Amino acid sequence: MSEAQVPAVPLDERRRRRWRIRSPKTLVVTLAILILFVVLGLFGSQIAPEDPYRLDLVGRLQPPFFQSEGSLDHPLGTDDLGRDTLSRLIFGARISLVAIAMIIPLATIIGSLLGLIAGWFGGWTSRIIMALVDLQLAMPGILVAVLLAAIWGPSLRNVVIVLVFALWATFARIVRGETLALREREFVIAARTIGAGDLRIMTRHILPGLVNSIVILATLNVATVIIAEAGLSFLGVGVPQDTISWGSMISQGRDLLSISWWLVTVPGIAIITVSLVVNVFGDWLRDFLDPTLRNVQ
Amino acid sequence: MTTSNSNYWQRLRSGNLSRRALLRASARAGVGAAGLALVGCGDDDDDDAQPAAAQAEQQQQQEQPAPRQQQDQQQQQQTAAQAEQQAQVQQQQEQQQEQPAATSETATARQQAAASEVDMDAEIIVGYGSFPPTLDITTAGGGGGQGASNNLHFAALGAYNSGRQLQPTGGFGDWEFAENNSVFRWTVKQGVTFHNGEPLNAEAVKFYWERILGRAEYNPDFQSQLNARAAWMGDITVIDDYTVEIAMDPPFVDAAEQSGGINFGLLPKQYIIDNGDDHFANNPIGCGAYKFISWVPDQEIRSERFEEFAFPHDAPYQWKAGWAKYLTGRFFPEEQARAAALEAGEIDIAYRISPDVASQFEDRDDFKVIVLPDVRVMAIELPVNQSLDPLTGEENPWRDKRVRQAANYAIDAEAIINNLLTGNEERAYSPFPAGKPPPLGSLERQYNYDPDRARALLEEAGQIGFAFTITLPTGLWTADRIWMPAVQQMLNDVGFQVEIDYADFGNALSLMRNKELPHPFIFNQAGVSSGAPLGPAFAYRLVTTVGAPYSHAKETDEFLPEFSEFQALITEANAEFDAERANDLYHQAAIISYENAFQVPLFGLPHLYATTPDIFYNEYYDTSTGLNPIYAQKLRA
Amino acid sequence: MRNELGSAALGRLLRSIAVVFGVVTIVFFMSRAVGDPISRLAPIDSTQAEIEQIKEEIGLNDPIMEQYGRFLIDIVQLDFGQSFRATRPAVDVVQERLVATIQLGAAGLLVAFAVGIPLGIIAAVRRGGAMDLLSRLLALFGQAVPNFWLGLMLILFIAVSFDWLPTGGRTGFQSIILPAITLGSFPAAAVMRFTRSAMLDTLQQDYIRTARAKGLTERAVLFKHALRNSMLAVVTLLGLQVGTILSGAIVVETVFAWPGLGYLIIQSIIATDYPVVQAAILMTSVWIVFVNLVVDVSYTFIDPRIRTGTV
Repeated sequence: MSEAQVPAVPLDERRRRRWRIRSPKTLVVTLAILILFVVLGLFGSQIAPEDPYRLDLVGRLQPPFFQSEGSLDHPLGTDDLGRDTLSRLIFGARISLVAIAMIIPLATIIGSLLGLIAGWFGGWTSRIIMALVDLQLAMPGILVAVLLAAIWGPSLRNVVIVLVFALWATFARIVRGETLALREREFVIAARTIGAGDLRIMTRHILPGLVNSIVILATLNVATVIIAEAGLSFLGVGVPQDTISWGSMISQGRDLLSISWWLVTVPGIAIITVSLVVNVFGDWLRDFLDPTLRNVQ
Repeated sequence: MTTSNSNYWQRLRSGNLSRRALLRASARAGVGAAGLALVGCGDDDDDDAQPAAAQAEQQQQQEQPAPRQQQDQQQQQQTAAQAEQQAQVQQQQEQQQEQPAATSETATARQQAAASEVDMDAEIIVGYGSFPPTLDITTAGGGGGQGASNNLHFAALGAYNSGRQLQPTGGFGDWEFAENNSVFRWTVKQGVTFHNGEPLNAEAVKFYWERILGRAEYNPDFQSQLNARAAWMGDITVIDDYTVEIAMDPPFVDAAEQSGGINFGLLPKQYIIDNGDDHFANNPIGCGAYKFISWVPDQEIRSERFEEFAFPHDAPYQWKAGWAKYLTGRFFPEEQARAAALEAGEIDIAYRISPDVASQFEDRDDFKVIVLPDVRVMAIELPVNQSLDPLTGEENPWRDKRVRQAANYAIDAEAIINNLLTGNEERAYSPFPAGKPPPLGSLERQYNYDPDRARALLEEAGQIGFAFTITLPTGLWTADRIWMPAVQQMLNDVGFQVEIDYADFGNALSLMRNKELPHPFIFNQAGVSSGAPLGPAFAYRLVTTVGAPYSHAKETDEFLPEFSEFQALITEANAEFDAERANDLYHQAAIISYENAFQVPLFGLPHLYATTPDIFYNEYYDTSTGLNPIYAQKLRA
Repeated sequence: MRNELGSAALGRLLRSIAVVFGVVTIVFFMSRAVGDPISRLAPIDSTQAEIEQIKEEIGLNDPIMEQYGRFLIDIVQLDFGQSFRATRPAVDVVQERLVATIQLGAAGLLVAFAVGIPLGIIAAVRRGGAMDLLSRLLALFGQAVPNFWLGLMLILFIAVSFDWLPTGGRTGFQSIILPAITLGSFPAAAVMRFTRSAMLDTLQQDYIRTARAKGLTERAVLFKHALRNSMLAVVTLLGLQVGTILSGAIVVETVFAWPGLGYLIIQSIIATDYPVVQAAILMTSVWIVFVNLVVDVSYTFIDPRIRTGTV
């Protein structure tokens, strides 16, 4: 559930690459898919060809259009209640997007702030914060999700709390490390000697140096959020059953796996595509913004 | 349409559970039709039932406009014809079996022929979707999983016929009302032993009731979920070694069911006293057809045929000796996992699957599908008697008849039956038997699907946007996660805002028992399927009314005037010993219930099982778990 | 030297105990934070009188800190209360399942390392080549494919279509293969990427150049020097992956009907068997902390250079 950020590959500039993942072409495709995802998430209700809740009991379990029994009325087929898979897929993008929009900023801000404080002040402040990081490692998000679901029942609120809890520690660890390094740099020491306050140094001198890493980390965690939300919803501890999400689509299609392959496969491919693209984009962003971060763990 | 009331239920009870429909279902599923002909055959007074049944069938044929036959009509006709043929053959056989004295020779021959093909050393592995939390039948509750454990290991005093009527003789005990209905007497069958060799006698029987009631000395703190059912019992007296009497005040019509019915498994007295309740819950001993070998919680339960079982294979009622040497239950809570396990050859029977999953096994040589009907009907039970909505504290919208009627008009049960189920289930007008158009009383017409009317009624009542939750106990009822969202959406389409609480079965049952569910819930005790010989008293005792184990109604509620009338009739009928008179009362009550839309009747559900081709199953008893692996035979290759 | 190592290990131990304490505290206050816990602590079919009795018995009317203290004492004695569903001590129910989960987790880790390390090495040695691209693509996919989806696909294609392996359950050696692959896929990607970058790092070190200069064969350089040093770094990853593996197990066990802790947790949630949920969560956390402790301590002994560092 965590650990999505794993050191990328150091580029060896001296050696020419014969094989590359991050060619300009890939980048264009990547960006195109990302933009499509965001547009679908934002304007899904206008774009979706049909009401994703509309029943059509007679026309249930239609396969995608390219199969002989399929039709272009439902390009990706229908589910066991005759609801349009494409429309549900589009609406499902919204939950993923909402989750990302709420979780990533929260985790980023909380984690970075605590990391910054721990790195700058050191001592007991740092120890306490790092103990909290340890605590997070000992309680994987899914356990927290299970606990919350047991207490409150499934809801989007749970998903947000759980994933913020699961992700902030990553930011804290890395930001702390970077802050420690920055603290010893000349311009910081200079600022200190002329009597600048802690707050001023942290915001004016250290934070700008952290922005790149934070942005990269945030990007790389987007995929974690997408996969984790789907996983929680699949288990029934994520969003409520009635909410359309890619995870709950898979969970609902599961019983029909061997007769209606598209019910599980289509949302699965959506999850994989978006996660893949976000990760590729994140790697690219890292190379572009800050090649030194490649080895950060 | 309305026939004379006097005989209304009686006729239905005489037994013609739409045999043809069942056969068609199983023929369509390509299987085991043979056994199903036994379904719903009458018992005691069935000598002249044959023509009546035939007549009823014909009638039914005419009544059904048969929308379900529109699809692949040709095939349907063909299978229907085949089924008809088979039905005739079966009916003859049935008749033979029903008259054991006259045809015992043929029956024995047939039995032997069958026995020679049956692999008596076989192990049958069944994949279940629910597993019991404990193996003691008195604490397992309604949580499901009894099919894998309690039903095999335990037997109760009374025996049901295939129409789920308790027989006064032919079980582990014979019963009678005695001394002017002030005493209920059981005479225990002699020579029966439990799996550990302990004898079954009057003392053991007395002990097991007293244990349920918390009156047993060895552990007065023992908590059983059956104690409410047994609460009617007065003093229990052992008369002689094999006779025991229960005092009744007032007389209790349902005494046989609530002392020797399905949940009241016989237990060995000395074994429990010696080893304690906790040990017993993990190492059950009963006198059922299979004895317990081992269990790994939530994984596997193994049982072995009990060779000293008290009844032979061809006993007339419910209690029959098992066929396979070993029965192994495996736990696969996910239906997809169950189906995959069957497909991969890991199990012989996939228990309780949905029609969609069944369809993938249907037209294949290497698998078959067994379809059994559930004689009970699903309905949404509405909380009509709380004057305030316990959740919002505001006026309870369900008090408005128009809102209840709107919910009735909103649901297209036919579409669900034809598209989401097998197509052979019947739309329910409960409390009238499924498939039978109800007597309308003061209504202009019955509640058929009419979304415009539903919306209009809801608007008139000023309740567009009325938001409520329906609790669905999940895990036991076929395809619950498929038809429930359909019902939900249909209600939403006319202006309700429905959320579904997909609840754990056992927990939901507990809440219903405690009358703590403040919102509508789904239950399958709303009535009877057409022709099912299930007494309506059975259904009514369980639903909607005060005193029913699972309902909303409490005596302290503020009854609607119509409900008071309804409740009074039911109370009277429940205490009525004269069956005909009781039926009249139920009938009057049913009309009131229907006129006032106290519930939203839906449909009966099928029970579907996929098996390997060498599994043969030809019994039907409407126990709560459907297919009982005791009766399953594994044939030699 | 010995003493220093010992005190470092002791420090680790204390820190681990503090973490476990923190987890217990979180679980306690989270469960108490939302109103009356009686609805979860009492069996669902209790009557009002029984509820009052239970309330009195477990002292829900006492001050919260007193309750917390009692909770701690109970936990130390491994007393989590009775399971509602099984009417046995919750801790017994949980312990039965622990073995199955540890088995699956170990198999998953084995898959992750058995796949990740060789691929990582090959990718590093043949950097820029086809194998490098292939393994990096695999890693990208490994991190993008949700494990529950992968599990379903494996069941569909391998267990059902080809009938090679069991679809689920815990019925012998063969039944662990598919769940282990599913569970190992995500961490395998992480292990591969980590091994690759660790190897690349090592290969640029001076002593490798020296070794090469000495005229050692490429194979000797790789296996005797580079690999050994990179593996030290990879071991740290083990500790981090334990959490991933155990949370992955919850999902994978559900897909494959593997009767472990995760499966138990999900079943217990459905049945609102709160004591079991609580016990299972705490036990899982304790295991994660324990494995991390072992990894850290053994690492400190293996490589004294970082004994005081902040890894």
